[in-house]
Amino acid sequence: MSRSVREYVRRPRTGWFDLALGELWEYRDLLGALAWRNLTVRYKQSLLGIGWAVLKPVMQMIVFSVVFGRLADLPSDGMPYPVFLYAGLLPWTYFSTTITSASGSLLGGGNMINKVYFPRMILPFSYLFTGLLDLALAMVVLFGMMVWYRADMAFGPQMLLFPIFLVPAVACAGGLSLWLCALAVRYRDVHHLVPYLLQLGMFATPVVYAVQLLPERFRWLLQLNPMTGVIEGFRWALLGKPVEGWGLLVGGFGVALLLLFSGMVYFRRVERTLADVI
Amino acid sequence: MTGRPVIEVAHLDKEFCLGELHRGRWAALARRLAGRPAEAGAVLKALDDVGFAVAEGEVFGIIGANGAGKSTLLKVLAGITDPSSGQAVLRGRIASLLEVGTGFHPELTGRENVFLNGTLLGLRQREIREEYDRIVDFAGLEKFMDTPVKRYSSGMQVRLAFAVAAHLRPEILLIDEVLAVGDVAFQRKCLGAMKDVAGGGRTVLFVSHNMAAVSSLCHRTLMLRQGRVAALGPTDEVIQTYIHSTEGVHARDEQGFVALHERKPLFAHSPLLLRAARLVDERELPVSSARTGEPLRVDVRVEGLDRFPSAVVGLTVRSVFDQKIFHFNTAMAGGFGSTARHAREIVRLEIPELPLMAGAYSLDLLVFEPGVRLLDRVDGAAPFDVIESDLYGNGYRGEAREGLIAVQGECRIAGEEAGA
Repeated sequence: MSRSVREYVRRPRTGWFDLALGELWEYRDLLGALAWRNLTVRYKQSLLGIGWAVLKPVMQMIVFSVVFGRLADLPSDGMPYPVFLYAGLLPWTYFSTTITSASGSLLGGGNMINKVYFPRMILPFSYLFTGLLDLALAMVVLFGMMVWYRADMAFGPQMLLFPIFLVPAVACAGGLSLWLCALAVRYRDVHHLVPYLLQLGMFATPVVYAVQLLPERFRWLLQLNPMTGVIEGFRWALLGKPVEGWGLLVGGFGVALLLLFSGMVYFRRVERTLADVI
Repeated sequence: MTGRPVIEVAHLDKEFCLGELHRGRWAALARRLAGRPAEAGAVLKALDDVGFAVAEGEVFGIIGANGAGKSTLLKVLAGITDPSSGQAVLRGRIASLLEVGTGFHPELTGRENVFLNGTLLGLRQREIREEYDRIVDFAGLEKFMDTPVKRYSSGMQVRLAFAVAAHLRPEILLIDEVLAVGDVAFQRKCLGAMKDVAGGGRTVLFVSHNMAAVSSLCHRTLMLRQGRVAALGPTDEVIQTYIHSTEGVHARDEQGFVALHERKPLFAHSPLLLRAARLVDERELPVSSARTGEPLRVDVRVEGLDRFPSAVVGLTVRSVFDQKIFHFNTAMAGGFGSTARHAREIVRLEIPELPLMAGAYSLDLLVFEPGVRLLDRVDGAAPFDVIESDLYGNGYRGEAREGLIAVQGECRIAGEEAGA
């Protein structure tokens, strides 16, 4: 055998910042296979199948349009409320479904974790990609709605920029998922807490309302929320809605990266004893 | 060959904390906030100063009683869990097969599961595509690859899973008890596949309770006892050590009976149960051994025979290699005729001249209605030793190593060959 032999050393791990990114890359095919599994399993033996990926945000859009748009008459920055809402709802749905499923991924994958070695981070990360597929499907409806409400929309080259705003969304969802699923291994309480945190999060993010709803002196707080940047960015790129405070949105991106990095560090720490605890 | 061992393990320890995870958690939190160290809980040493080395191409066995640390050792080597101290170095691509079918998802089809399972074991998509036809062929499931795995029989699932694993092409293969499942023909196929792996210059670590498999596959074997290395050397010697260390573990009641149904009954709500068993000597005293050529008396406590008057009680003697050596039952002995049966009774089975060479054996007990159904069965109900006796009247002492069955015979000089 002429090729170089790889050496694996098993010893107690120490140190904080060994993120093992190279290994993550080696297992990228597993990431794909798991993302595909998550997607197909979710819709197996259901009549509408993958149609649910579109139907769920659409139904939510209808309900929220009636409650928040009609009844509460929340501001939508001069746009038709349903389009305004749906453009915000899409990244938010991505964020919340990803976190909901990823935060339980370590507990749900106990059998695999106990029997096979693979970089554990792949389990929560696989849901990041599953959610993107859902999002891509639901986008089709948004484009349909944009054509319908054409009069008010600003079609232009900036539309092609919307995927950029998915980067902080993925980073933020990834970071929080790592924190939550690692915490859930020790504290099952997380499982009960996550739905309420997400509900709270939705109202702390301008999903159903425009940023202008808040008094000026509190807006910076809202804009440190990475998802604010994502949603504002979506509305800017797709609907031509002007953004105020770009600098703060960049700050939000910084927060997302911080979440991701700290999540990875904490996750690697928990990973050491994972198979013994789970 | 590099000359360096492919697996080098030195002073490996693995400790587990006992007790519930959150017990006293608030108190512990208060202690930590107060700056005092956390209380040390009870600790179990699953591995204790384990060290060994395995050369390239070697098939290395690991045996030991349940809880001896075999699986923990494999998990540490596979990287599933970290050791507490010490280290292990493995040189080459590793595949671990600690349980076949890990990661199989019941809702996915066979094909989807092959890709999921393959990537989980560290293969690239491209590699799986190349091997796909061979995998399907090995499993013999061509027609079922687009069927969800939940509709497979458990045997089919195992076949598919082993097929994926057998095509991994690792340099080091860690295997735990894969042969405990599947039918005999498939087990033979798996052993063959493992031999191919071993023949290909690959290194195999094989954990098993199946002494026959260990003995026929492994060059050298390690025996663990309570996390420590109890024996290490040529396989046959280590197996002998293992056999002699497993005696006297069963609790007996005052009549010498060993209870059988502390384990789960074979059938839920079974009206008939094998309760307990014992071996007795000619003075009716409970023993744990019999002698070659002398009577073997087995008492079986059965409950519910009044409801199944035609039931047959039988025993099967097995070698340490799990081979069935002989079977004997009450029907062979002529049955009980029309005698009334009792709700609880003790059935005596007696073999007047036990035809077994000295060694360790075990008994399976079973009750069945001939041609109708099995009522209860307990495998490995009673381990027992056969002790050598002067069967041949000349001091020759036979051993199970030479052959399991003790036969009588004669010899004479049948003629004289013409000298060359």
